[in-house]
Formats: sequence, C-alpha cells, structure tokens
Amino acid sequence: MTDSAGLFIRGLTKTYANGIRALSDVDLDVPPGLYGLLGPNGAGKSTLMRTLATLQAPDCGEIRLDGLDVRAEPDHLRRRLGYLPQQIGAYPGVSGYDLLTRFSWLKGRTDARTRRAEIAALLERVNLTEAARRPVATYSGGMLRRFGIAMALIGAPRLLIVDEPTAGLDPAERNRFHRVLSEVASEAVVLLSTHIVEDVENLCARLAILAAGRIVVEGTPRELTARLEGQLWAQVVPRGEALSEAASASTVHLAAVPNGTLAVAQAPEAPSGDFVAHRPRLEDVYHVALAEAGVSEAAA
Amino acid sequence: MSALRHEALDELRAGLRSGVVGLIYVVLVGYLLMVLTSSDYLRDMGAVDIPRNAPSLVYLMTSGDAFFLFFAWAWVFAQPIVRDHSARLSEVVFAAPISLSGWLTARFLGALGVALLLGSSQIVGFLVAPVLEWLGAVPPGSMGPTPWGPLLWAWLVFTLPLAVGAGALYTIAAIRTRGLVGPFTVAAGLMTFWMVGMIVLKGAEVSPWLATLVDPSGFAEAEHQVEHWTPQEKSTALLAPTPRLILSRLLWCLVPLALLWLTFRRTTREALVVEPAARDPGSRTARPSRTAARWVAEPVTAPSWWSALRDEALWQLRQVLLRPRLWAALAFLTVLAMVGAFYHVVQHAEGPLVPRPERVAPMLTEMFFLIITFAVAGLVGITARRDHQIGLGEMFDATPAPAFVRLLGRLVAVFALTLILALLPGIGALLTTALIAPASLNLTIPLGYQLLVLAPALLELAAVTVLLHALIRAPGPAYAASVLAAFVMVVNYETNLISYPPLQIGIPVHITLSGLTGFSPWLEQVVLSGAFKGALVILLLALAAAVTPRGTETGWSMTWPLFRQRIRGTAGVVAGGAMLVLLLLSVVLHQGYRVKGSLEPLAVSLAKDARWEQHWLAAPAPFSVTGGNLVLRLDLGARSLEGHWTITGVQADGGLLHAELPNGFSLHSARVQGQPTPAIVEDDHLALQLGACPTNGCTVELAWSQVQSGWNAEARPAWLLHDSYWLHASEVLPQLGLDPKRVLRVPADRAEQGLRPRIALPEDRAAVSIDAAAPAGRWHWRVELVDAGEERGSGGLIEGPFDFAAAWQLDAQRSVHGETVFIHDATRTITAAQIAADLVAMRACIARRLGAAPAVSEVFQWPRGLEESTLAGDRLLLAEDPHWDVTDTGVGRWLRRATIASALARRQVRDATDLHQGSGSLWFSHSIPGALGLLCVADSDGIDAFAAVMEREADTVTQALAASAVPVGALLSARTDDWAGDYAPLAALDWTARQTPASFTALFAEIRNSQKLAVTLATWVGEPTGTLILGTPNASDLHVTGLPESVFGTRWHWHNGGWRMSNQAVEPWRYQQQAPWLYLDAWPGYERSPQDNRGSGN
Ligand SMILES: Nc1ncnc2c1ncn2[C@@H]1O[C@H](COP(=O)(O)OP(=O)(O)OP(=O)(O)O)[C@@H](O)[C@H]1O
Ligand SMILES: [Mg+2]
Repeated sequence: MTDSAGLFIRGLTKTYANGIRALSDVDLDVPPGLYGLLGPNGAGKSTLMRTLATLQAPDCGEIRLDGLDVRAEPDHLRRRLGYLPQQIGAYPGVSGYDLLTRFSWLKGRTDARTRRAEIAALLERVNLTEAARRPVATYSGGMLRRFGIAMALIGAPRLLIVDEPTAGLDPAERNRFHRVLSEVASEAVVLLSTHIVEDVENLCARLAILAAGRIVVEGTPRELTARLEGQLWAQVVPRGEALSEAASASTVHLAAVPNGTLAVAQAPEAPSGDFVAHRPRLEDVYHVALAEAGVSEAAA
Repeated sequence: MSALRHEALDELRAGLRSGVVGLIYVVLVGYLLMVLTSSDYLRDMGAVDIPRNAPSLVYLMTSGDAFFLFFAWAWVFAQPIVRDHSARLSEVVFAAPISLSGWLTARFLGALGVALLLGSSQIVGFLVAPVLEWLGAVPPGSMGPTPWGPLLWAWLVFTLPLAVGAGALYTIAAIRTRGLVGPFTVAAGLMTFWMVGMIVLKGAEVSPWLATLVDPSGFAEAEHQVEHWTPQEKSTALLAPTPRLILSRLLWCLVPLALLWLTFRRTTREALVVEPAARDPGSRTARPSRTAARWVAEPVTAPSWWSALRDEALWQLRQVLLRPRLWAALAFLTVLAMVGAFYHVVQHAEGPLVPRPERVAPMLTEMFFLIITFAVAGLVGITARRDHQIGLGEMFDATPAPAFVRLLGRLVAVFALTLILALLPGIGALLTTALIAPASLNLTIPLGYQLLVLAPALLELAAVTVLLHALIRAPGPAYAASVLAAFVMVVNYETNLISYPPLQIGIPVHITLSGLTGFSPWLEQVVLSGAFKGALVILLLALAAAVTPRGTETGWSMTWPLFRQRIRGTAGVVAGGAMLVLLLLSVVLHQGYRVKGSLEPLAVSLAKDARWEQHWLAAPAPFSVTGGNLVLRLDLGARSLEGHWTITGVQADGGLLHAELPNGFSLHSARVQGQPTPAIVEDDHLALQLGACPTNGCTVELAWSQVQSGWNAEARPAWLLHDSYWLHASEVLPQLGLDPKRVLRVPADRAEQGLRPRIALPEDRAAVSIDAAAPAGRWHWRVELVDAGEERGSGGLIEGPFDFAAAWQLDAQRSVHGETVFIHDATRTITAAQIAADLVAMRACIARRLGAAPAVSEVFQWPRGLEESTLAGDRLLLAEDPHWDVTDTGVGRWLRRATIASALARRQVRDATDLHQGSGSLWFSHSIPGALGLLCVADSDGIDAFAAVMEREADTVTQALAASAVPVGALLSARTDDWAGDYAPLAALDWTARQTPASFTALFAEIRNSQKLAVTLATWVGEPTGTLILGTPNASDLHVTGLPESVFGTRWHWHNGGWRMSNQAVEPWRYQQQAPWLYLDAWPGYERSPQDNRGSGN
C-alpha cells in the first residue's frame, strides 16, 4: 500500500502539552476520491487534520502522500495541500480578492497571469465574484466559509483537507459546495470532516469514524450499513411515556420525531414492546460504532 | 446586583490571569530598583544629597509611569469588549438577560481594578527599595524611610484620576471600534496631549497653566514643581495641590467619566454585536471574463519564491502605507513638529532664534523621541501580528512558501514604517526652515540626521519588538512586553542610565551639528555606530526568524527544539555573521571611545581623581615661569598633533613642575636645561623633576603628540578634522599647575575613594591659571600644518597668561567690520554684522567700567558643542549655540551682548591679576565679569533689557541649585562648572555696580601682588560682606507695591541643602537714578524674581 496513490497513515499519535491524547495510534488509508471523517465533538478530527496539514508534529506515526514520507518532507505535502480549518476569522482591512491573490503566491502560484485566471475561476466557482472587492471583514458567515473554500482550492491541490466546511451554508450553497468537492475529488484525495452524517452518506466513497482519538469503524457507507442489516429495531415512544427498562438497555440512539421519541435498538431479535424492524442508515452505524467503542454520548 | 458584581470580579480575574500584570510588575519593579542603584542617574536628577527614595522621585516616577500606562491600560480596558468578540461569544453574552449599561459598568470597574493594580507597580518598587541597601547594592544610608505619604498622595493625584479618566476614554473607543485599534489610538492621542503640554506649552514657557491642564499624566506639573525644589524640599515636601493641578486632575477624570456615562446610556446591543457596515468600494476590478470560469487549474509547478517575496513585500507595504489614517496622523504630527519648532526655536525664551536645520532637526528628534518610540513599538507589533487571524494564520502556515517569504515581507513593512517615523522630525525641521529661514534650507542635515542617527536606533527597537512578538504568542503579553521595552529605552534615553554608547540600545548616538562643519566631525562615529546597530538588528531578526512559530503548536517546549533546528540553518548563518560583525565593530568602537577617545566610566575617572589627590595635592607646588616658545604641528590627514614647548624661567617650590594633560596626550621627551629628565605621567597628570635650577629658573622642554581621532559620549565634536581645525590653547596644551576641578566634592564619592572628608584645594599659586595654559609671561606660539601652505597656519606673541586660539576652514566666510574679521559659515553673514555692532558697544562699555578693554582682531563662529564663549589672545571664540542663532532683537541678543561683555571683562581681569584657580578665584573669573556683562546690557539696552536678562539668569540659578550634581556649599571652593558659574554673576551685581575703574584697578593690582585671593578680597570688601560673598548662596526677593511706591522683601541663606529665611531686613537700592528704575537688594545674593522689582517713583 505504501507505494500506491493516496494518503497512508500508520500509528499516528498526538498528545497535547496539557496531556490530552487527542489521537492514539490512528491507522487510515485514504484513496483518491472523497473520504468522510465522522466523529463526536472532541473526537480528534481537527487534531488529525491539523497534523496532516503539517501544522503540528505527531508524537509518532507515519504519514505518506502518494508514497512520499510527509514528516520528512513537509514541503512536499504543502505544495500539494489545500486546507480549510474549522474556523476562519476575517482579515482586517483587506478585500477578498487581495487576500486570495496573496494566498496564491504563497502557494507557489508566482506567475501573475495564471494567478489572475485561477482566482477569477475560483471566485466564480464559489459565487463570490460580485463580492470579491469588498473587505473580508464585511462578509457574512456563509460568504466567509465560501471564501475559505476558494482559498483552499488555490493551486489545484492533490490533497484537500476540509474541516466541517458546510457549517453555516444555506442549502443552495451547500449543494454548490458539494458539487465542487466532487469535481475536485475526481483527481485528488479529499478528506472531509463533518458532523452531518447525511453529507457523508451522499458524497463519500469511503468513511471512517473517529471517537476518543481512535478509528472505530472504516469502510464504504454500503458495507457499514450492510453489517447492521436485520439487527436494528425501532419504536416511537409517545411523549411522557418511558421506555421499558429492557428496551433502553439495547437502545443505540433516540431521536425526536413529531409525535414522540424514536428509539432505535440493536438486538438479534425484536425487543419486547412495539418495536418494528428498522432499515440501517449511516446515522445508525455512527451511533452503534460509538456505543461499541464505549463512548458515551451526552446527547443520547 | 450580584450578577454585576460577579461580572466585575470576573473581569478582574481575567486581567490577572492574562500574564500581563505579572510581567509588568516584574519588569517595572526590577527597572525601578535598577534606576535607584544607578548613582550616575541620580546625579543627573539632582538627587545627590537626598535619599534615593525621596518624595521628589516618587512624584516624577509615578507621573512618568503614565507614558507606559497609556498603552498598557488601553489593552486592559479594551478587554471586556475585545475578549468576547474574538472568542465569538459576544452574541451569546449580549443575548443574556442583563442590563447592558450595568454589564458595561461592571466590566469597566473590573478593568479599572486591573488598571489600578498595574498603575501601582512603582509603590511596590519603592517598598522593596530598602532591600537594595540591605543587599549592599547602594551605599549604606542612601535610602530614607519608606515615603508612605508621598506614595499615597502620588497615587491619589496621578494614578487614580488618570486610570478612571483614561479608562473611560479607552472603553468608549473600544465600544466604538470593537477592537484594540480605538483604545490604542486614544493612547497615542493622550501621549500627544502630554507632548503638547510638556513640550510646546511648558518647555517653551508659553503658559504653565495651560501646560498642566493639557497634560493628562500630570508629569508637566510634577516636574515644574520639583525642578525648583531645594534638596531639602526634595526629601520632605508634598507636591503642592496647586489650583491648576487640581483642575487638571478633575478635568481628565470627570469629563471622560461623563462621556462614558453618555456612551453607556446610548450603546445598543446591536452596536456591539453587528460588524460595522462597510461602504461598497465599487467594482474597480475588471469583471472576471467568461473564459475564466472555464479555466482549469493546473497544479503548481516550479514556483519562483523570489517573485513571491517581491509580491509579498509589496503587499505588506501596501497594508502599512495605504492607510489614510496613518498619513493623517503623520500630517498632524508634522504640524505639531512645526509648532514645536516655532515655540522652541523661533519663540525661544532666550531667542528669538533662527530655525536652522542643524538646531531644529536634533531638537525635534528629541522632542518626538517618546511618541515615535511608542509608535514604532505599537505599529511594528501590529505588522508582525497581521497574519495572526483565526484559521487564516493556519492556512498561511500550511502553504509551501518558505518561511523567509512571509518573514522578509513583514520586515520590509516594518523597515518602511520605522524609516517614515524616523524621518518625521526631519520633515518638520525642513518645513520650518523653508517657511521661516529659507536661506538656511539644506537637505543633508535634517535628512542625514534622521537617517543616520535616529533611524538605526529605532530599527533596534523595531527588531526587539519583532523578536518579542515571535517569542510571545499571546498578543496581550507580547504588546505589553514590547511597550515595556520601549518605555525602558525611553527612560534610559532621558536618564542616561547606560553610559557606554554601543550598549545604548534604541538610543541615537549623541552628536551636535554645526553650520560650519556639518557631519564631518561625526561621520566615522555615526557610520560605525550605525553599522553596529544594524548588525544588532540583523542578529535580533535572525533570532526572531529562528523562533517564529509555524503551525498551531505553542509553548517553550516547542520553541526550543524549533530554535535548535533553525539555528543550524540560514537563520544561524545570518545570526553568526551578524555576531561576528558585532564583535569586530565592538573592538573598533572600543578603540574609538575608550582607547583613542575620552570616554571612561565614572568610577574610573573618580578613582583617577582620587589617586591624583592623594599623590599630588598635599605637596608644596607653587611655581612660576617667565615665558617660552610653543610650536604645534598639526597633521590634518592623520588628525594628530605634535607639540614642542620650551618654557623658560621655571621655578617650583617642591622641585616638581605639575601639569594637567589633555586627552590623548602622549609625552615624547622632557628636558630640563637640555638634559632628559624623569617625568611621571599618570592619571592625566604630568609631574616633572626639575632638579637644581639657577636663580633665574630652569628651561623646560616638552615634546609630545596627541591623536584626536577618538570619540566621546557627550556630543562634543573633535577640534581637529581632516579639512579644518578649531584649536584653543587651554583645551589642547598641558595646563601648568594643579587643577582644583579634580578635587572630589561629593562626600559619598570621597568616602568611597578613601579620601578625608574635608576638602582642600591647591594653594593659590600652585593651581592652574584661569583660562590659560600657563601664567603670565612672554609667550611665542606658532601653529604649522604638515603638507599645507603657510596661510593655514598661524602664530603670535602673547604677553600675559598663555592662551591663544587658531582655526582654519576652507569654506568658512570672512567678513570684515571695522578692524575686526568675522569668520563664520555662509548663512550667517547678517548675523556677523550684528555681532560686530554688539562687540563695538560692549568694548566701549567694558572700557568705561574697567578703564580698559582688550583688543579683538578676529571673531570666530565657534562650532556648536565645542566650548563656551571666550576671548583667547585677541580672538573672540563666540559659541555658535546660541549666539550665532539669535536674531537681531530680543532677549537672545541681550544675552549675547552680556556674553561678549563678560568675555572681554574676564580677559581684562585675568590679565590684570594673573590669577590662578585658587580658593575664591571664582569671584574674579565669573562674578565680576558676569556682573559686568549684565550691567553692560543695562547700559546699552536699558532697564527692560536688564530686567529680562536678569530674570532668565535668576531662573537658571534656581534650577542649577536644585539640580546641582554636588552638594551646594561655599562659593569659595565651588567648581565653576556647576551651580556656582551661574550664581556668581548675580551675587556680584550689587557690589560690581558700585565700583569705579580706579577701585577695580587698585584691587586687581593688589591681588596680582599678593596672590592671596580670599584674604585680599575680604579685607577689601570688609566684613561681614567678605564672608557672605564667598560663602553659601544667598537670595532675596524684593517686590514693589502700592502708591506711593514701597518696597518689601525677604532674604534667604542656603543652609544644609535648603533655603533658610534670614532675619535681616532687605536694603533696597535703585539701580539707575532716573525712572523707571529697578530695585535690588544691597547684599551679595541673587534676586529670585526681578519682574516685580520695577519702580517709577510714583
Ligand atoms: N491546542 C490544544 N491544546 C490542548 N488540547 C487540545 C488542543 N486542541 C484540541 N485539544 C483537545 O484534543 C481533543 C480533540 O480535539 P479536536 O479539536 O481535535 O476535536 P474535534 O474532533 O475536531 O472536535 P469538534 O467536532 O468539536 O471540532 C479534545 O479533547 C480537545 O480538548
Ligand atoms: Mg474540530
């Protein structure tokens, strides 16, 4: 696998100065195409992405991009990297166009003609052509997100790392962004972290679920849902009523529905009560994986 | 209510946790202790015989801390708004169910708590000061008891109101801009107010009232009061709550509070949460073409990082320069500079003066140093941190661009900013000259001064700032640290705490520019010092490059390995190269300052003087000579001199001939009666064994050489340059005799050096002559130049005490008025004509009052910084500063006349008495000539001029007594270069005015014969006057009131470091018989305020 295309991660461990071990012994193979990274808050997604983006050094572990050792040659990766962090602020007093231009030469686009053409194309792509000359500080939250995406796409990256990119985008922009990602993914490795299971389900060829710094599940959405086939049962508990004790022991997650709470349970057979067979979806995979990994979900 | 208390406490806690408070306490307390251990500094502060923790210092330091606190507080008061904003919590916070104004008030009070804590660091400093004594860092007994009262009072008068007032302004600004920009702008504004108050209004003595009102820090008033305090008051007094001080404190506290109240009431949640709507700048860009959308991105290949660097540098420059606000601020400061130049030069109290660039540019640089320094620290910090934005910083760090691209790009902007700020005073000077004295317009002096002198120092500060921001990731402590660094540099600059120039980081080299010589005396020193500073800048920047973090990891555990790794790369090579250059240059600078130059640490010169006193002072040393022959060969190329001096008729009581040696003197041979003789040269002193001399005395021959290419730290130009020389004998020759100046006067110094507490001066006839290299005789002298024509040399015969001057410069202009030739620079032809008129009038006056006046054949514009005005031989060396800068009418011109008259009188008295610098000689060298100078102004320009000049002088004396570097004692044994030189003329006014030419002549003859100054003088004037005139200073204050006119007044006598009121009644007498007249007190003291002594006989 080491010589093949894509991102190859082995034994990646990262401990912060305050002692929190945010990643422990992460192994991951990310082939070209869109790859989803799911995980609860604090799972270590951002840590993994920052580490891949050469912004922080892991304690140990191996990272290869298309076979090349990234830790030994960070610049090799940086030249091929597009990175969009979870949050970006507004650069004071500078227009979007100016900032993109600057970012472009820092990415190595030092030929002015190519640079201009690329920026114009990217602005069009994220629908910011009109607002390009406005100060970044006046962009709305969604505009800022789109602007960040344009920044990340400069230089036609081979590896695109985006940390929760669609947070705050309206449905139209989200769709638009998904199309962009898919386009990029035709030639590049795209690593997308998100909380929105649906996005991963629709977009990603493969995914991994990260919990408490470990990869708990990895595979294609189809594989993962297939594993749970025939094991899930659902029941709508009307408001004000409690779930039976036996049922709640096997419950994987609860979700609010208009007439009460939908409880999904995992069991070889239907638990007692009004449970009916439930067709597994990626969201269920997520919850089951976390439950199996022993990660308690506060919001359950 | 408890929610609000909770908010206030939370703010206080947040401030304490930020690390800023701790940092500031450690640095400021440490720095205060350092200042208190520096005896040099306290000497400069006039704090010689007061405790080191005296109240006067408490007031100055508490109010002076404001310059630093302006910026620190801006940060503190911005936090309530900025913190939530940058954490993107503001919307959450403001959605909470609390009253907005209540919330703001609570936060303001919390921040005020932090601010007051920060503002109290000097209290802690003074409280722990006694530890210094305990540690032995200061001599025992030099700390008084902890000045609780003054500390509390200073806190109440300065710290508290300013914290409230300035805090209110910062809060308003933070609310309006929702960032640090507003508060920092307000801080710069407060600093500007201080500058206007302190420099324009107080410095130029426009109005102390306005100065105090306008100054938010209170420093102007504290300094104003302390400046006039006697040592006794300095160690006991409470700062007087003058009405103007109270009004100023109320103004700066209550008006901002009222504004704050209004702002709180008006502020809406929306204003605090929603980003300000920016104007749409319109679409300047060409709309992207349709083809653009179809463009398919290629991966980046073969980037050219050099062109990226160019683009990056231009981009950073645009960020700095394309800011209308920056240019508006610069324009404002330039106007302020012109106003400053106008008040301090054109309207100078001892002027009016012509605003020539050589005077204005250095003056404005000094005036603006403080504000420019803080501006550099702040703006460089902003530039260094520009990329530190949430997320974006990470994105920049993850780009493939090598670190140098962004680093150098930023440094270009830093460099440009620093240069622009460095040029500011020069531009102000240029504009002022262009408007007021276009004939003196010249580009090289102001621009050269800013770029060669100020800019290297500012770059040092900029580099320190860059390094601090690279080391400290959190913005608060990083800004605090760099503003602290700037503050320390400013205080070092003001107090001369560090005396070795290369170590004066952030401080410009001291030079004085003359219209005659421009940069030529300084070029070498300025260029080499600039190179040293430049190498230090490069070293600091290389270190900054090595520790600049990349990525999201922070902390020392990261920085250190990063540093170790990078220092092996380019940063290390650059740092190593810079260190090598620093090392080489420090050797060169050491040569220039210490080996060839005259700079030595105070401790060294004190020790030398002490050894001198122990070796030579006690031995009998009266000597006499009859004349001789001197040849000086100057080598302009090598900037060296060879001297050959034959002295005839030498007789000395102890068989030893003593001489004080000038700087750089190296003896080649010494012969007596043609035979080599043993000579001791040590501690700048020469002692020559005479052996048995014939009755008519020995003939002594001295041959020596002297290199003049060294430097000093006092901005004193060299007299021997590659293309000119300015030679004054008493400065260049060995001075025969023992020099009483070398006797240590400060009791603590004497104790430290193991000398007896009682001060003894050399015997009258053993001392060096006044203003002369040797006592009266027949002296032939010749100055020759190596490889140069006759016309550049000079020579003559002196009959009298041996003093002469010679100077030559190719470009100097010569104008002839009557019998006298005036030598000056090209812009001063008109001034020369005015000086010619002054000379004629003053010679006539001196001839009338003394019976004769010396002839003057040449008058030199004596380059600025070289020495004070004097008449050497028949050449008048008239100091360029201020006498060649004053215009034709006003106080300046009267003062010039007084100076010329007293120089003439001094020569006359000296020649008539052949005086040595013995006990009491000051009465003849300074008192009588100085008083005659004043009286001649009265004779030629009338009673108004007399009163105006007296008033200037009286003010000078009051301040000199307050600021004296030695304890003020009896005039009999005082040094001339301290308070006594200023006091002596005024104290002699009454007596001198009553003398006639005949009485003078008789007295001088008697002195010449007896050579026992004090005794002769005492019998001549009678007692108690004899004791009074040579005792400690006296003062009177007369005032004329009522109709019909009556005169009241009080007398004081200086006693133990302060004035003590005398119970004697004043004896007013009228100077000038016809109205209007001036009343003076008939006793040897000075009139403290002559302005109310005018009478008209009604
Ligand atoms: N700079 C840091 N220093 C110390 N601990 C950190 C740092 N950044 C993150 N952590 C800790 O590491 C763990 C993983 O954090 P990370 O930000 O990677 O999670 P995440 O999966 O991105 O969460 P989210 O979905 O909320 O963004 C958390 O416990 C977090 O508190
Ligand atoms: Mg995250």
